[in-house]
Amino acid sequence: MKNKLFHFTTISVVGLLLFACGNPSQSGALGSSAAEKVYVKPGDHDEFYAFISGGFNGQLSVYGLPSGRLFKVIPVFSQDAEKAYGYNEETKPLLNTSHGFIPWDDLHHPDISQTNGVLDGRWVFVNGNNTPRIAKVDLSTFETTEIIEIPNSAGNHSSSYVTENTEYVVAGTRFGVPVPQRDISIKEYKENFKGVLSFISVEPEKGNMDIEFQIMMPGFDYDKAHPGRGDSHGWFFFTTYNTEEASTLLEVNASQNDKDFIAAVNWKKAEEYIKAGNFKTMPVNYAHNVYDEETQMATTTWKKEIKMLDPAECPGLVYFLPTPKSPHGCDVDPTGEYIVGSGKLSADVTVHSFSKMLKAIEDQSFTGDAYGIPIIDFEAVNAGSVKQAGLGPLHTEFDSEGNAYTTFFISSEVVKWKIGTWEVIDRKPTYYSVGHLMIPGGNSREPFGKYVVAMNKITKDRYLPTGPEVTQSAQLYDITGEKMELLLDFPTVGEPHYAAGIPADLVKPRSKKIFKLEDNKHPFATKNESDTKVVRDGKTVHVYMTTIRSHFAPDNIEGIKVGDKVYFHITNLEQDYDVPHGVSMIGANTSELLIMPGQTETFVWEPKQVGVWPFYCTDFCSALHQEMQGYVRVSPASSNIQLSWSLGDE
Amino acid sequence: MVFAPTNDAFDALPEGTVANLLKPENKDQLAYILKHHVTPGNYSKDFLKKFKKLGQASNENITVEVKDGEVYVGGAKIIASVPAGNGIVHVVDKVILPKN
Repeated sequence: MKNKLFHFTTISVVGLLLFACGNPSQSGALGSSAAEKVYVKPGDHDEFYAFISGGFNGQLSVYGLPSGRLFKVIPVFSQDAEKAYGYNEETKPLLNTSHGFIPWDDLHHPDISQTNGVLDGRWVFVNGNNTPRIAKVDLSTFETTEIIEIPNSAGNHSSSYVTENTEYVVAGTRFGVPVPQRDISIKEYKENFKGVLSFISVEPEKGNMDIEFQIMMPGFDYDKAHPGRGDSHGWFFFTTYNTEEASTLLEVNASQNDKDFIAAVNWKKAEEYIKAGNFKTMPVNYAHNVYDEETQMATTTWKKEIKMLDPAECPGLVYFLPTPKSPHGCDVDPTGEYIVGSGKLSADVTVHSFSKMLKAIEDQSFTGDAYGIPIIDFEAVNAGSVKQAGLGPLHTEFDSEGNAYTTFFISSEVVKWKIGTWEVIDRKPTYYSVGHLMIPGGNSREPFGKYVVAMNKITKDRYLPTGPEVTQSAQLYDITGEKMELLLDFPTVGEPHYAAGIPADLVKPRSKKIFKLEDNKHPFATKNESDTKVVRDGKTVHVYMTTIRSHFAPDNIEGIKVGDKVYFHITNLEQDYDVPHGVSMIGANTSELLIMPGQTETFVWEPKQVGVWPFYCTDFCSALHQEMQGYVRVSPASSNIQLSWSLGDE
Repeated sequence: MVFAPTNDAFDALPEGTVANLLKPENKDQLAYILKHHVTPGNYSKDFLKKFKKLGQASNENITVEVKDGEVYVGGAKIIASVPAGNGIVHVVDKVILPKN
């Protein structure tokens, strides 16, 4: 008896131990914590770059995932005093528009260039929502190198998404306007105000943009857009709302129709029509601003005409897919077959099928037309709906396992569902009121399905308070398992509307460390301390100056007079990684300059007072950074003092 | 900035000096002499003419003199200069001996 009891106890204890050790879902020492999953230890690099829009700050932020660390805020549409963007003479032209120089815009949607449906990390395209523009950020320097204005537009919102081989980047207006603009009563909106979609080509080698054609659409509001891919490559899909064509109190008046549309645009067909000459040439005036990396300067070219296509004269160019209740997101799954429309005021997520759409077009399954554009029968194109998924769906991205992740603004959650079966697999709350989410590659043929970032609109109590205005919150979730797991909560700069992520290895190797001095073709560059000089041309003075640790050359200048316009052209002679120099002048009506190794930048100083005025290096560059300074003597306008310049006692 | 004596410069030292310095018990002394050949900065030979003295990493100063257009640091003549990734190496014809 005693023996059996002993054996039984032993076996039970052994069994329990085996069970406990062998079960990996036990929490404690055996489970991997959220902290471990997001901890990037000192000296290590993150796995992914996340390019998150700054919204109303007009900039593009660069974060690392999974740590959530902020690396850079790239100036795009807004002046940035830190980097002299929009302040120095070289970058000011980037902010020119047909309305004059504008120091700000509202940046919403970054999209990374793709090759054959896969992220290639060459450029990020972003849209300017207020004064319609598209900007291109070069990912070898993480700087804005081109901005093109979009004519016949207002509120460039369904932008700036690229086709899967970056043939085009698109723009679309969220505000119907008279095209061309003219004096007309606002009450005449219906039928008279138009929405214009624009297709901007991207040159494959250098990425130069050019508006190829525009399409004159009805005055609906064009909200979001995504390209077809795979079989649906050649098509682009835009959501519309306000098919009611209201021009006042849209909150009520644009929410009347049960269904609005997703506009399916066949851009390959558009190319055929353009080739056949089936377009109208419209006079316009818009700015095309390009930063040349060799001369290190931006120039503005004024463009005067546009090719306009009229869908009524181009059969097969556009079709309308009915989609419930003011849809926002228009997202195409990695296979290119499913088009997901998220109706802001709907409780379901609607999914259309591309192959069904093609069949419906062939069978002419139309329920009518809007301004000559065929409306496809809803049942003929619909693939299914994710029923009662949440309240207020906005945006969907995809992983590589056939799952979709949709944000629900009103019910403040991310919902994971299965493509094809439309069943909900998981839902997780966000804190609070999520707008968009991002899976690196989640808008491509090959998503990197490890993390999803949810970008929220309401922060409230998430972090230490900072007065009435608080930052916007974001959460990072692990999506490698069946259920999503919240890993990290981090604040974001400005207001993120949208983001694009990419594995760091696709961008890191191309990231430039310095600018080579021998490649510098800036017209006022000085490549040697012995070539520095100061030159007078009437009341204009050009200072050719250099910087190297830890002095300016020249650092003493005399012979400047009150009323002069002095251009300081400063070349940073360093050729080592991460040794920029800054410079600023007392009384200059501009920001500092921040000059990278091998670069030349210019600021203007118009001395108004007699005296001796100092300038200095503003970016800590060396042990003797504090000693890096200079003086400029300003004499009265009538004085005869000759220009002289020196460094040290000659 | 590093002032690097040539092999000949080391050979010119009294017999046994180098061998002695390489002994483990003299490590500190060797380190001191090496630091005496290093100073912060990245200056060309020409630019060095503007200096009267330099403060070395040994915490001692050395003089800078210009004779017939040639630059002498701590009595050693700069005979060549090699720009490097983050600085410059000036080759000198003597080992610069510190006072201490």
